Amino acid sequence: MFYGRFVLGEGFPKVLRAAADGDAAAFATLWRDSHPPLLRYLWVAAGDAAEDLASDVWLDVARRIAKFKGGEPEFRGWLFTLARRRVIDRHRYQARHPESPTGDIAPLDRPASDDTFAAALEDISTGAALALIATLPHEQAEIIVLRVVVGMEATDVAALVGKSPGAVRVAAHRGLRTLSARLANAGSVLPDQRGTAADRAV
Amino acid sequence: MRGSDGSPAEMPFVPSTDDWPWPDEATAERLLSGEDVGPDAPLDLQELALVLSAAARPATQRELSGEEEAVAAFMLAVATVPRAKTWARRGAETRVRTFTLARKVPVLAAGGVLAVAVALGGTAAAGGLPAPLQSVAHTVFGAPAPTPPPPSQIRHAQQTGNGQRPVPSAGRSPSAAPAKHAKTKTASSSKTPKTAKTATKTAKASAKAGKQAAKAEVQAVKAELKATAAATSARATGKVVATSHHRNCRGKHLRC
Repeated sequence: MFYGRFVLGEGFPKVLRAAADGDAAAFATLWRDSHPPLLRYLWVAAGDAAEDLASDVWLDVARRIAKFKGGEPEFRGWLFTLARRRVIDRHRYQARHPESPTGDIAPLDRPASDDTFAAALEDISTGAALALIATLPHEQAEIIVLRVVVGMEATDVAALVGKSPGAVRVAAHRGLRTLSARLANAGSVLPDQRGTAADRAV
Repeated sequence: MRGSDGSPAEMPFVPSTDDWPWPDEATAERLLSGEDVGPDAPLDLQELALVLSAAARPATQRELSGEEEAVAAFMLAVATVPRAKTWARRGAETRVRTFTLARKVPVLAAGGVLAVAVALGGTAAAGGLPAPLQSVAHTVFGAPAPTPPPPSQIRHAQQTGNGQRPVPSAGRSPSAAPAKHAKTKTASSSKTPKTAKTATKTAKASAKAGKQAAKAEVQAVKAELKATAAATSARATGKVVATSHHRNCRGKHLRC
């Protein structure tokens, strides 16, 4: 089972109620549960602005959590809806205020795809895997992260991104097919090396 | 530019994604759901599963390093934003809010109708309705019968011959007015002896007429009491008896 599945389970309503009443420990529990997948989603969707956007999202949560109603899946949906709106706002801001990075900074933005594939295959760390997914078209990358990292079902993802479940499935399958093709193009990991690479990557 | 335009080193063959056999739809769903593809799966699929599982690994220390700042921001937000309402209070407010105008209108209408019915019933029980309505109330639920007009008014109606119910005069007692008038006349008659005699005569006649009117009124009240007693006994025995004042009213074309 992937990390992104819901881990608070039956204890979630109690934690949510305490957080809504201003309990810091309860909020910390929610944060520890949801922040890592949120950060990974934002990293794939918005790159280096992920941490800033995550802070903004948690500030939104802190302000509005008293009005939230629902279980753990609904909370995840709400949290990533807030995150997605932040990403859209940022993309709009960037479109209105385009930045032209200098030659020194440009190579640091994101690794080139060839380097990413090589890093992913040599040492499949979480960051490398996310970087590999981030090379996909934005929509496919977003849907794959929401399904694999956050652990949402296709119907929940469809409601979040405003598409039909069928369109979400098609986009996810195309994204996986593209990933598989690029991995094969970059070079295979030998069966005896696969375990070693997974063990090293933490 | 096509692939054949350059050397293989410059433009390596990249298979089209649409032609790529892996993963099929069922396998893709298994990968997206986090299921294992199994050791017998093709190498490409195993690599893809490895990448996806790496992306979904448990949180690293770096990812969890901002907890204290996040909690501090939360506490600040809770302190600055209006206090979060408790769930019980929120539930109560929601219940109140759901009592919308659409629900209030029928309740208010029913309340208004009930208030009007109670007011009409109470007035009818006290015998204070206009005669036609009081008569209806008398027939429907046994409210007191409408009070007949005083005999003097009946006489007045007979004299005018219009058959309409007479409008009550300012002086309620018809006998009081002549007496008062006579007294005034007597007081003024002491000044001139010639006119005093005539005035005394007129006063005597007026007093006599007043006495007669009072007597007639007493008789009318007695007749009404009799009629009420007869009506009460008739209700008790289930018979419908026309009261004397009803007969009186019909004969005079008056409505009671």
